[in-house]
Amino acid sequence: MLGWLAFRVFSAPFVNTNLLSLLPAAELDPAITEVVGKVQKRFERQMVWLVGADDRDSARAAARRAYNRLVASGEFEELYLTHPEAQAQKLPDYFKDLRFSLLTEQAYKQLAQGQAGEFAQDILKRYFSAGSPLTSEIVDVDPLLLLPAYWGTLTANVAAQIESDDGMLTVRDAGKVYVLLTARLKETPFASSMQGRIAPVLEAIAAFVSHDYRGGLFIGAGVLPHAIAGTRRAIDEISTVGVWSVVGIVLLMIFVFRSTVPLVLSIVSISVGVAGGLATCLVLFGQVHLLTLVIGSSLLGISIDYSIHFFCRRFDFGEAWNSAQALRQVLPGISMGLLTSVIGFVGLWLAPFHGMREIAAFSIAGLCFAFGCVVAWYPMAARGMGTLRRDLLLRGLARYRTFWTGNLRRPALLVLLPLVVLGGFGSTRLVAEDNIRLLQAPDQSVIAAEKRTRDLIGRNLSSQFFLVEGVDAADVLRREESLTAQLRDLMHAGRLSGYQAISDFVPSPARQLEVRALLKPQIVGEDGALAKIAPLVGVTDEVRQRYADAFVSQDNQQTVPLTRWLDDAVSGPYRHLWVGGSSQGVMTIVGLKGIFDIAALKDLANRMPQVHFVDPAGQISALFAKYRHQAAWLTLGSYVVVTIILILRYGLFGSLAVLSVPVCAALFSLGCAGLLGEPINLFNVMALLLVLGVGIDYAIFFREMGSDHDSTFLAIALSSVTTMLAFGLLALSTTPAVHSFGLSILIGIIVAFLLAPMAGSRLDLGRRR
Amino acid sequence: MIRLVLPCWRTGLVALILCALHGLASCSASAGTKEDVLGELHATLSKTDILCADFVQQRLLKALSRPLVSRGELTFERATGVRWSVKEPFADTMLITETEIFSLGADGSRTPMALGGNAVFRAMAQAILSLLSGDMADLSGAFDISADRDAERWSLGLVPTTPMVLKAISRIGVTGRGYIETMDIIEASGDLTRLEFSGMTSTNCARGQVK
Repeated sequence: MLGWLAFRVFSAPFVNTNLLSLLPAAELDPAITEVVGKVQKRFERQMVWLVGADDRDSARAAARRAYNRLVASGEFEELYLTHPEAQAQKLPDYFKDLRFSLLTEQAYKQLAQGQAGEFAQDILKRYFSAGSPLTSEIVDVDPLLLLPAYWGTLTANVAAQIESDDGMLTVRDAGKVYVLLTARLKETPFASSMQGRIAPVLEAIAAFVSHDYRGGLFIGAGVLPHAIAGTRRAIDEISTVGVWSVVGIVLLMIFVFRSTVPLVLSIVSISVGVAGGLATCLVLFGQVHLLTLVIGSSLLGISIDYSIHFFCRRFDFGEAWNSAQALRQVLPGISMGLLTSVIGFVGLWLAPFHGMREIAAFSIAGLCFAFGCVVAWYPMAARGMGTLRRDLLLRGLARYRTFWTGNLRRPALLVLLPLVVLGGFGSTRLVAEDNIRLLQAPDQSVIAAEKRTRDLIGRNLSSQFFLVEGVDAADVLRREESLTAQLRDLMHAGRLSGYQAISDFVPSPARQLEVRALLKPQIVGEDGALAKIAPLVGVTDEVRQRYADAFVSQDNQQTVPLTRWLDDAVSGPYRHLWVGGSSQGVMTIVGLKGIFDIAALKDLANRMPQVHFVDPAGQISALFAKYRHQAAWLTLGSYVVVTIILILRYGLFGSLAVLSVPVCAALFSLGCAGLLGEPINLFNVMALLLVLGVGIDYAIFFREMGSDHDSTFLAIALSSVTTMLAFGLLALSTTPAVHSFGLSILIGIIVAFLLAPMAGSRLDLGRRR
Repeated sequence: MIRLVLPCWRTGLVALILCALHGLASCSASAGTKEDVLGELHATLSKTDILCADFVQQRLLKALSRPLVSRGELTFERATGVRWSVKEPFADTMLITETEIFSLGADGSRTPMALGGNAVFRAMAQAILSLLSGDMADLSGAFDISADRDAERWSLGLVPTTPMVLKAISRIGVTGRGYIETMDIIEASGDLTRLEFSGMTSTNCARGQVK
C-alpha cells in the first residue's frame, strides 16, 4: 500500500529530489548567495555527452542519431552537435582585433622593465621553434607572433584535447573517436517527473549506440545522471522499507491479536496519520522532499503505538470488553507518549535545517492525526470485539518483567552496569564525520562514466570558484587581473594547477591601453623589435607597413569592449564565466583547476575586496559540523524540558526512574556507534532525539499502567518491534545519513525496550550516569 | 588468302604477346614498385634499433621573403622514440614518441607539448617517427602512400587520410637512397617545410640520448 502510494507521489511534480535544498542557505551576503544559487542552477542543468566508437564515421553517425533522439524528447533548451563557427580554420576576426592588446606575462615584464632586447629575442625564437603554429596567415597579421605566444600560455586552461572535425567537436583517445554533445535542460534535473521522462530516452540511446556501432559508447558528465540514480535508489529503499514494514506489522498484528479487525483499524489510523503529515507539509512548504518521505515512511512504526496499546487492553478485560473504558485506561499513557514524542520532534523543528523541519512537521502532524483517529474513532469502531486469553507470550513477558521488579540490585549489575560501561567506553571512541557525502548514495557506474568523460574532454574544473564583483565591466576585469596575477604565483608555487578567467580573453581597458603603450615603440619605432627582426626572418616591407599602419589606426580608437567577446562565437565555451548584472554592478566567475591549497585561496579572497571564494561543498560540511553541535545541545535541552514535566507528574525519584531508560538507551546507542567504528554525524544526534521520545514513551507507559498489567508490557513489546522494523530497515540504506539515523534508532529502541520495566519500580536503586 | 593471313596472324600474335608482356611488366612494375619500396625501407630500417643524423630544416612561408633555416641533430632509438635536437639558431630539443610529443628541458625534464591546433607539426612528427622506425603499417594507416623508384633513389608520396590533417597538409614527399634523405611537407596554405637529412647512420651513434 505504501509502495503504491509512494509511486503515485513520485510522479507528482511537487516531489523534490534535490538533497541540497534540504540544507540551510550558506551564510553569505544575500546578494552573493543569490548569485551562487543562480550559477549553480545554471550549472546543474548542463550536460556534456561523448558518443564514442572505434572509427570516425561510426562515431559521427551514432552522435547524429543520439542528437535527434535528444531533440525529440523536448527536454532541452539548448543542444549542440555541430559548431559551425569552430569549422573555420582561419584566424577568427576577434583575435585580429585584439592582436595589439594581448601580451604574455613574460613579454609584459620584459617591456615594462626596458628589456627590449630579450623581447625581440623571444620573438625570433618563436619563429624557429618547432611547436608553434607558424603559418603565413599568422605572419601576415601578426609578424611579432604575439598571438601564438599568448595562446601558448593559455593552453593550461584550454581544453586542448578537443578538436574541431568538420563541425563536430571530437576527441581521439586510445584508438577511439568520441563526438561531443553539449546540452542544457529546460528544468532542474531534480524534478522527478522530468527524470521519469528523460531516463528511458538516455537508456535507449545507450542501448543503440553500444549495439549498432562497433565499440559504441555513450558516456556523460553532469548532474542529471546523478540525480536520476539518486531518485531510483531512494524509491527502491522506500519501497523496501515501506513494504517490509507493512508486511512485518501485518503479520505481527494478526499473530498477536488473532483477528484482522485490529489490523484494519490500525491501517486506517496510520493512513490518516500519513495523509495528515503529507497534507501538512504541502500546506506549509508547498513540496515534500524525498528524504522526508523515506524517514516518514518509518513513522508508521510510532503511530501504530496508540492502536497497539488500545488493543492490548483486550487481554486484561475479563469478560466485558468496553472499548470506551479501554480508551480511558490507555489515554493518560498514550497522551503522555504523544506529548513527549512531539517534544522530541519539536527539537527537530528548531533546527534551522529546512529538511529537519519538514521531517518534524510531517512527523508531528502524522502522529497527531493518528492519535486523533484512535481517540475519536476506535471506541466506536472497536465496540464489538471480544477479549483474549492470556497465553504463552504474555506469560513469558511477565517472567521478564519480574526480573526488574522488587530488588533492583541484580538487574542493575547484570544489565544496567554493563550497558552503561560499554556505552560510556564506546562513546569515547567516537569519531565525527560531517562530509557532504553523507547525503549522497554513490552510484559507481555514474561516477565512473563522469570521470571518464571529464578526463577525455580535459574539463576538470573544481566545484570551488572565485566570484569577482565590479562596478562595471572595466572595473571587474581589472580586479580579475589582479586576482589572476596572484593565482599565477600560486601556480608557480605548485599550489594550483590552473584557472579560467574572462580577463585572459578580454583584457581590461586599462590593461589594453598599457599594452598598446608598451608595444608602440616596438612596432612603430625605428629601433623597435619589428625593425630588428624583420630583416632576420624575411618579413616583407609590405607586411611590416601594413602592421604598423593597423596599429596606429587602432591606437586612436577605443579599447576592445567585453561585449565584443561575448557576442563572438569565440566566447562559446567560456560564456558561463560571465554572470552579468546584479544590484551592485556586474560579476564574473574565475574557475579553478587542481586545488592543492584551499587555505591560500581563502586567504586571497579575504585580502582582496570584492573578491569572494565560494566553496559549496566545504560550506556544507562546515554547516553539518556546526549543526551537529547545535543538535547535541538541542537534545540535552529537550531532556531537561521532559525532566521537568516528569518531575511534575512523578516526583523526583519517579522521574529518575523513567529518565534512566532513554538515557541509557541513548548512551548505549552512541557507544555502539563508537565500538562499531561508525562515524558520528548530525543524523546520529538527530536520531537520539527520537530515541528520547520513544524511550520515554515506553517508560511512561510502564509507570502509568503500574506493574499489574502485563498487557502493557505486551503492548510495549509490540510497539517496539514495529518501531524496530520500521526504523531498523532504514539502517539498510546506502545513503550514509539515513543509515546512521536508522542504526542509532534501532539500537536505542532495543535497549529502551529492554530497560522499560525499570521505570515501573518505585525505588531508586539503579545507578545512573 | 591463307598465305596473307598467316604472317598477319603471327605478327599479331607476337605483338599480342609483346603487349601482354609489357602490360604485365608495367602492372607488376607499378604494383611491385610500391610494395618493393616499402618492403625495402622496412627491411633496411627494421635491421637497426638506433639511427642518428644531422638535419637542416627550411621553412618557406609565402609571407616571408626568405626561408627560416635551422639545423640540428636527431637520434632515433627504437625503445623510446626520436630525439629532435635543434642547434642553430636556437637550441630547442624535443622528444617524439608513439603517443606524445615532449619538450625537453636543459635539465632533462620533459613537458608534454600542447599541440591542440597544430596538426601540421603533429603529422610531421608522426611521419618522421614511422619512417625512421620502418613501421609502414602505421604510415599507411595515417596516409595514402604512393611510391616510386628509379635506379638510385626511392620516393614516397604521402597524402593524409584524416580530413582534419588534410586541411593543413596537402602532401608529404619523402625521398632517399637507402635511408631517408629529404622530406618535403607541402601545406594546404602553400607554405612548405623542407627537411634534409645527412649522414644518417646506425653506427657511431651515442646511445642513451633518448630518455
